[in-house]
Amino acid sequence: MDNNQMTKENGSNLIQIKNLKKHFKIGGGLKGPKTVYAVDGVTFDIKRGETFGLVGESGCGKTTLGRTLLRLYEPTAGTVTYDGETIFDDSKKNNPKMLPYRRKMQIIFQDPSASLDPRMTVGEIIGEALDIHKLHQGKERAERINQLLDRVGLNSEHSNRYPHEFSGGQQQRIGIARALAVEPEFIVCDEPISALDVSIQSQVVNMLEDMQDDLGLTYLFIAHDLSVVRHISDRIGVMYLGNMVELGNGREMYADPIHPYTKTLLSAVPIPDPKANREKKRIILEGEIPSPMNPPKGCKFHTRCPFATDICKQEVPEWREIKEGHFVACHNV
Amino acid sequence: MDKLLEVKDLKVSFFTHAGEVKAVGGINYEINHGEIMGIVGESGSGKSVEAYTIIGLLQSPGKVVGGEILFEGENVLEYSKEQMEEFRGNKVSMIFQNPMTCLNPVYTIGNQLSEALLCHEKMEKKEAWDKSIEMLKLVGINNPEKRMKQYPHELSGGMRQRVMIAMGLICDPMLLIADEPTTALDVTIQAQILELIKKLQAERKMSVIFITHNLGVVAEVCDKVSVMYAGKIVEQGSVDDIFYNPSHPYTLGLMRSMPRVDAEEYERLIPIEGNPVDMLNPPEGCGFGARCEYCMNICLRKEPPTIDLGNGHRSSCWLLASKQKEEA
Repeated sequence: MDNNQMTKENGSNLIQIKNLKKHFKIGGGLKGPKTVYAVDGVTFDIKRGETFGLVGESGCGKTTLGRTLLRLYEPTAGTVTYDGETIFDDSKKNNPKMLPYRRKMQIIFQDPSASLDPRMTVGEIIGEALDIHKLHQGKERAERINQLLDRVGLNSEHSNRYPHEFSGGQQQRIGIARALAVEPEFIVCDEPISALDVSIQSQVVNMLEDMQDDLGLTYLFIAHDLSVVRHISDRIGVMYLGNMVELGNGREMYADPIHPYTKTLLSAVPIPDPKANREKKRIILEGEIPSPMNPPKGCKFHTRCPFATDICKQEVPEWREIKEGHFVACHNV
Repeated sequence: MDKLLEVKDLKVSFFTHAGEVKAVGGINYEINHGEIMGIVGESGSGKSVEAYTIIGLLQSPGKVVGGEILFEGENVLEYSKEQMEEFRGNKVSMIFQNPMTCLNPVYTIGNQLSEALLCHEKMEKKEAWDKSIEMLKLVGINNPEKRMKQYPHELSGGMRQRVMIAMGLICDPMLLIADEPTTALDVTIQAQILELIKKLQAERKMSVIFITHNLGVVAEVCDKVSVMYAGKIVEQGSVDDIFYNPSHPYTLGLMRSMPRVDAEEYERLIPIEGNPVDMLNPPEGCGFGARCEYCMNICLRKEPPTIDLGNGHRSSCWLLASKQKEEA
């Protein structure tokens, strides 16, 4: 693992995201449409071969960010570069067609039963990806499907069955096989294990790790389970209300979180160790995450932050690199 | 401490078109006054069914096929409908996993909260309304007078769960059953709710059955734990025994398969191989046998005995039975 870690850290940037925004307009009515600031200016890079973890509470925009960088949602503003090529730039009128990039960038969804068409067999679901990209036609196609099923721990007999015949863990494996079908380089894993049973989660986590080692994949791993994210990720970004508040090496950041939000988030995780829990001092956050339709001014976290000062209410904190590779957006650092 | 609830050899089956599903296959445990017991298990392990049976909410085609549930010495399963209504709410109450589906969307919070008091305590409307406001204050809801007049969809997830807790506690029950009360919530809100349940439990000296699949939550709130697998309790004991001295391979497997937020080094997870049991066609012998790394011949043929390890720590596994024999 250590060797692997080295090459990962030396990796070049596969994806560069600058000031990416995604705003949704909802409703109409007398007062006009409202805007949801789901992702509101996020800047970071994903290095080739690494797992970048993204954590935050529900509604913080982590799923939207994952989908926006794949252009499953058209970004509102900002730029996205994939392997040196611009795939979105708000200053240009004509952004490139995504089909060629879809072969390189794939996604695994959270709810496996909802993301598989119930009227298609497993073979058809995986084969569809091959057909769209005109890969492996004729006899090879069936072979490729079997090979993929084998890769995710299912077998060739399964290709004639329908999704409802499988358990949740197996359905998620089918979703992974579908993403792998086009030989991608980069996969967005959007809460891939949160719908699974505890004893199945670790099977899938291990499988994702093995695939990365064998195929040299790069992951953006989105989850709200902080323990799993820490386990699987090389670097981690913490999001709050559409912005990234802290980014750094996973282990380092968990050991020594800097942003007050990261601190409270980490201290809220219950540890499966009764004695450690009894001794642990917990920072309990007051209140709940404000609505992204009407985010607070200045630092968005100031309404819940125990250390907020006047400047936090006025000015948006700058996204600064305070140590090598460790970024924080906070006035009080 | 004396016993509040004693469950003896409880068996619950669902009679479906495809056949009998033995959701709960003979479980035993007891809870003392003021104790918090956690029930851990995967989906389909029977942990919710067992709780629904205690409070009399088991629905057709589910049926109790054996055993007793003794609450302060009385068998709850023999209660008449009227007795059950009296028992439910007054002595036992329940909070559910998904507060949105459990609150009625067309009634205000105040209406639903005070209904319990009007039914059970035969209070006047005004009095019930005031007590409801007090209850909302107790569970940490700001501006309760305003919330009383709002509908469930106007509240956030964490707030709704607080309302559910207020509703569960409003008649001052002796036993609270919490079925995955924090699973749908974010960690920061989960921490708030766990803190609240612990605080209220200590103040009111009530007993709690806490159903969850999150071992971290168990370690934080529970005094003792029952681990369920395929309708059986495979291991039970105090939290310290279960976490520091697990003796059943399933418990051990669960602990090893979970990444820890405080782990010092990267360690590859050790998953429990295989899939959960199909309860329509349960295997013979030990339910966990097919997935167990220590599986022996006898495990696939005969059900394991329950071995007493002392101090209330019990475990059902052939490994322990053979070990005990050797020692003797």
